[in-house]
Amino acid sequence: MKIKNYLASHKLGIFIAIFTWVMLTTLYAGETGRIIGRVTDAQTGEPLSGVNVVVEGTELGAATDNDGRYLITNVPSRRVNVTASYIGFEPVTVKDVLVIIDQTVTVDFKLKPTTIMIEKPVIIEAEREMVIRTAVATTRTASSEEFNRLPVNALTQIVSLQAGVTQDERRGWTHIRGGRFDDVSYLIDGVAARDATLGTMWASPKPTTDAISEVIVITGSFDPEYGEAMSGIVQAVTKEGGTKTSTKIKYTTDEMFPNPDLNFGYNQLSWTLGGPIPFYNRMRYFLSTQYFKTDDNADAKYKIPAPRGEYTGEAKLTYNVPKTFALTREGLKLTADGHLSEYQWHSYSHTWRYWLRGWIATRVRNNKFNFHLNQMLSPQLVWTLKTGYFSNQVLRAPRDFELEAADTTGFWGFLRKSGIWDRYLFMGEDWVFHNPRGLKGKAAVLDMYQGYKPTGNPADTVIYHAKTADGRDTILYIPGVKGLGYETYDYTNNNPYGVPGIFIGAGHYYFVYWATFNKYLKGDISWTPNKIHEFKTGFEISRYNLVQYYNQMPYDANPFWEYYNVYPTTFAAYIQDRADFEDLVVRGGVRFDYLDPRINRRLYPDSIGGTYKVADLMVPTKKKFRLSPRLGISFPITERIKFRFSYGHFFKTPTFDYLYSNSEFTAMDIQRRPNIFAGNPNLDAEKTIAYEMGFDAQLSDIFAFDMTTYYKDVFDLTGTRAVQTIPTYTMYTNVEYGRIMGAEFTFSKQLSNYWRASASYTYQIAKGTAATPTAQYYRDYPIQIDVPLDHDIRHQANFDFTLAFPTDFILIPLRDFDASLLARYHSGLPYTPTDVKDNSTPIADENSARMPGSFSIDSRINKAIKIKNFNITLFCDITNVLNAEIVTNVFACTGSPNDRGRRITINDLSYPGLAVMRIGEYYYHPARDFNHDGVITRYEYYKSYMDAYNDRYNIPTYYGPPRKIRFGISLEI
Amino acid sequence: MTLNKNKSLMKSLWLFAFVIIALIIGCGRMPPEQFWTWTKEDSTKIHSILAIWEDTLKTKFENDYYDITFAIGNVRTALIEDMKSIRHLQHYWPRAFKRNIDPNKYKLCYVFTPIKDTTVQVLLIESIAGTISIKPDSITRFDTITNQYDTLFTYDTTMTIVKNFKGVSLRYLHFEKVDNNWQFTKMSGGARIFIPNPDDIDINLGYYNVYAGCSLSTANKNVVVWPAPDTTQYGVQRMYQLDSILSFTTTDTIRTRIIYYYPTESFGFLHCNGNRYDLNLAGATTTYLGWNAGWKHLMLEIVPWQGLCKPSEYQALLWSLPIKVTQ
Repeated sequence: MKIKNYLASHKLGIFIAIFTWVMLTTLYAGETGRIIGRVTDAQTGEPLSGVNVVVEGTELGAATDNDGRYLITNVPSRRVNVTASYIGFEPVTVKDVLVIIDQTVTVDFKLKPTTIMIEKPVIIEAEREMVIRTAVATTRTASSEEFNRLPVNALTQIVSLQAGVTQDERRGWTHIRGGRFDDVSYLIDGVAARDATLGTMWASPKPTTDAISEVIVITGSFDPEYGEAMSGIVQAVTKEGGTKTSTKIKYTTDEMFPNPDLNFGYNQLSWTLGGPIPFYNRMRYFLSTQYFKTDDNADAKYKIPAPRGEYTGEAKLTYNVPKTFALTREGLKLTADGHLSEYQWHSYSHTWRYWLRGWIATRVRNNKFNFHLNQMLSPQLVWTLKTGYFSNQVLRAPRDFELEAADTTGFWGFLRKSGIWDRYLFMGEDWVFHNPRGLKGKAAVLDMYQGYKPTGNPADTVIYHAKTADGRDTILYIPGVKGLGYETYDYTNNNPYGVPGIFIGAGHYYFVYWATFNKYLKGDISWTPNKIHEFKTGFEISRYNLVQYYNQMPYDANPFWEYYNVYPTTFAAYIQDRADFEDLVVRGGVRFDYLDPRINRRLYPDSIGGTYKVADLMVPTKKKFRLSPRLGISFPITERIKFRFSYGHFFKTPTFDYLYSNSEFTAMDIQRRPNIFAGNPNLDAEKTIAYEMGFDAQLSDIFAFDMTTYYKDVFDLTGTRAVQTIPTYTMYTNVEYGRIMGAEFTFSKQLSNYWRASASYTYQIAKGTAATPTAQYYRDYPIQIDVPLDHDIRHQANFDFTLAFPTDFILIPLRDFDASLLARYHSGLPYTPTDVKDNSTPIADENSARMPGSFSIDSRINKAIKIKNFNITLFCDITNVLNAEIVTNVFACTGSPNDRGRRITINDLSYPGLAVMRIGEYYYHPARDFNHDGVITRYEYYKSYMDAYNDRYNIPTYYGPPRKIRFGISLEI
Repeated sequence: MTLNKNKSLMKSLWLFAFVIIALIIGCGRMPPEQFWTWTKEDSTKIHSILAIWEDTLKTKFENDYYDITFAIGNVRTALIEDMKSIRHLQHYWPRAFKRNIDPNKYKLCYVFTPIKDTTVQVLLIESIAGTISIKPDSITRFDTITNQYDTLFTYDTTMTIVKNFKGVSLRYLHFEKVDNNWQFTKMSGGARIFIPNPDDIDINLGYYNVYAGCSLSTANKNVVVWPAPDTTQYGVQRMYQLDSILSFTTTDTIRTRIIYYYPTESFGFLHCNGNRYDLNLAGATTTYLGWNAGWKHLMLEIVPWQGLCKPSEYQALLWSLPIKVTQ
């Protein structure tokens, strides 16, 4: 009762306390790694015990034992300075030690005896361990340096440079070791940040490049603490405020050529600010914003209209609680971070080339808030707790240009008028989310066609109905007259050639909205009882809300549609041990996953043709459990050579959309639209069993080499099969199989003698029955044997080379100057040869032919100028230096990117009734009437058709981008 | 040695700079030549030319009663057949009719079609609405007693039958850009006027299968006009330079002779200068048009019998021929 009264009388105070705690815990600490090492006497080589080793800028540290060894756990993964000090010896600081998530880095000290008291330590540049001794699987890391040094501007680009990572340029998907694009888990600061509804990476939030401290790509087996992935983990660690206030502003542009066709409208402006809160060093902040705009985001053969805009804002606050309290004596760190971003782009379709306003645009909105507590109960015991909220919303539909034209007031209107930000407004968005008739959910989706009826007064509308020369009905809408709405897309003659049936010239495409809202809570405890073992156990619980509105034909009363609003719950727990016996590193453990789809499933899916009562009988979907063991072993032969082996079972819940797609459909709905992909809430987890063997060797202080071979069996992949009922429809099911094997080789040289380089080569065979869940749907019969998957790239090689001159270089113009060159090659993607006539009937085995390979070189040049505390950097990026024509897609009937294969003669087109057209007939178009005499002759008809045909099948997006040059400047204080 | 090394480095630097400059100059890949794009300035200039021509290009109907003097036998036959099949319906024989164009419902709009060779085709659309007032000569009923269709009950009447009327006129114009100036260079050999809209015309008319051909002859020349193009004859669905448009003099008397038409159960009218003349579909019509010099319109109208003889919608197809009248 007293407590109750107390709570009642101190509501405000309690609220403030909780709010403050929450605000404080909204500070976020990066993921952590460990530092171990040995401190010896530089003269005698004897170990020194009791030496203080501290991580600068933190309160982390340890003392050496009798063998001179020390261990520091819970070190934030970023570059840190480590100092060893001991009475009677010169203190030494090893600078820029790179701490990698979940790994142990070795930093040894050799202290020189001295008879005088020296406070200022000797600074030594850290030697980066080129072989990560404790990594039992393939782990690639890239730090923020790579973003500065290499011609990359986005997280995905740096990921794609890693061995084992391939890009399917046809679809823009990233694959790791032959897995499907959604087999990758994408984490930011240890928290899943992928759009869970469709599993896409492109819709996921991306930290600004200047905020990224480190990127880790694990392409092999991974520890039990990582789940929901089968082929790889991409983890980005973001920066946090340092001990000093610093800021950086950077601007990149390509708008400097007199010819506008060579300006791609690329403008990127970013700004970061970080440091301690004034007068209170324990609390630090890091702010980051980025604005990006381009006129051509398609990276096609030449400049095409595909604008994109992005803005991102991020904030991170960290608070190291004073050690004055018993609970905080060993260290308590509270972190909060938030992310807000919006990406929007207008896609390009060559078929819609002359009516792009009807083609789709996309808007992605991300919000993310994380709260993180990290406490060291003792140097051996650390626990963390994370909670947060993540929202990812994607809307894809044609833009409503009339609404946008009127959107000129207020804040967004100001941005639009000033050319800073064209806020996209979409057709159908209001109708679905603010339905004028109060409809919601499925009803609102099905009601969309009502919104696309002509809105004007028919009496005011001049509609000219006509007949074509061959007798078909046509409608000519008179522009400028109000209200003609959202008609079906149409291959009219609205193109510069006046030829119908080749380009889409009217109407609009589909509407889709999908969203992931996720609340999560995760925690773990790490216990390091000695320098050998590190036990870790943890859990993660996520409560999702997944929403989808989809209407493929919003202008039709009987469209293809989808709607769901579901709340699946997942839970995971794991226990693992990382044992480091110096000559043997073992990482093993087990993971438990649980999924509750929280939706009913159809009991008799094959009874659609029967009575609705039976067909619509629904029962709760069973909850899913699974255990996955993981084991990894590394045999360090010496400090610089190791063998490693890993084995693991990896499970992944199929992308949620395959569970819930069309889950609202009744049997009657299926009968109305049977050619759908029906979701299956009963889908099981997809499973991969992976083996990996590797050999890592640091050949000298500067050269390193590693080799990895791997094999993966992938079972129960999501696929589709027809449900044999009347009518037949298609349902997702665990039916596909994949088999992937390969070898990776990398060679790297550290910076010395002003240059550094690295090279990697991947050989891989990725076979299976279906590259995507719907692949079998488009085949006449399901394939039962392994065929090369669509993303099966056999050979891939990357090479980067950097020249870098230091501040004290003898030639003044080259001081603080560096230039990088990045060369990439991969062999061609497979495709299935088809018949020339229709470009779709296979005439050979599935994926039995190969596209041409791709080779490109990119470059970056940096020149830094230091003026007192100001560091100004001028840089230039050149992509596709050789301006090579990079083929990214081909016509399956010819294997060529620019030859559709058909040879059309005038006689092919001159069938009766179309040989000649006259002015006033609907399909007459003045562009076909070259002499404008009102009559399209047979020759004019043929010539204009061929002009249009050649344009249609000379597709710029079948090629990679041309050479592009961008200049930039950054100012850092 | 150091000096030589420095020189070598400087050379490399210059070479590197040269390569960079060369790359910049040779940057990128140019897209295919872009098509000319229509601008607001182009629109404004063509609109200013159209403003000068607008009154000339507008359709003008008669605004007073004109008697119908020619009634061909096919119309009468069709009327009787219809009376036989729909006996309860009132039919009538039109004596005269006039059109009242409602200015409030009149709309004129232009549809621009920019063409990639830097020309523009303009479709001039007139939306015309109003009423048709018909003065019947007599009201007729089929004799259901004798069941003989050639015996008609006939009632004299003074009533006026009013029908709503709406139509669309389509006329094509062509503009070319010469030395950055837009010029009106061509127009179609005639406008086509659909009453009401093309696809609203009764199916029996067969849409575009409404054919007519006529010859316009004077003492000095004979011009055959077809609504559809013909490589040898003057056509409505063809484009002509302005100086090739049909021309007559102010003193010409035109003899009009319909040489082919379909359907045959129709009335024919000739409109000129706001006057309407009956067109003898079975023979020739001689008309002194009495016009002044300038641009005029000569309209040929084919009206299926139903529009004037029974309570059906008034439907018609017209060809409005621009005529250049010289002194």
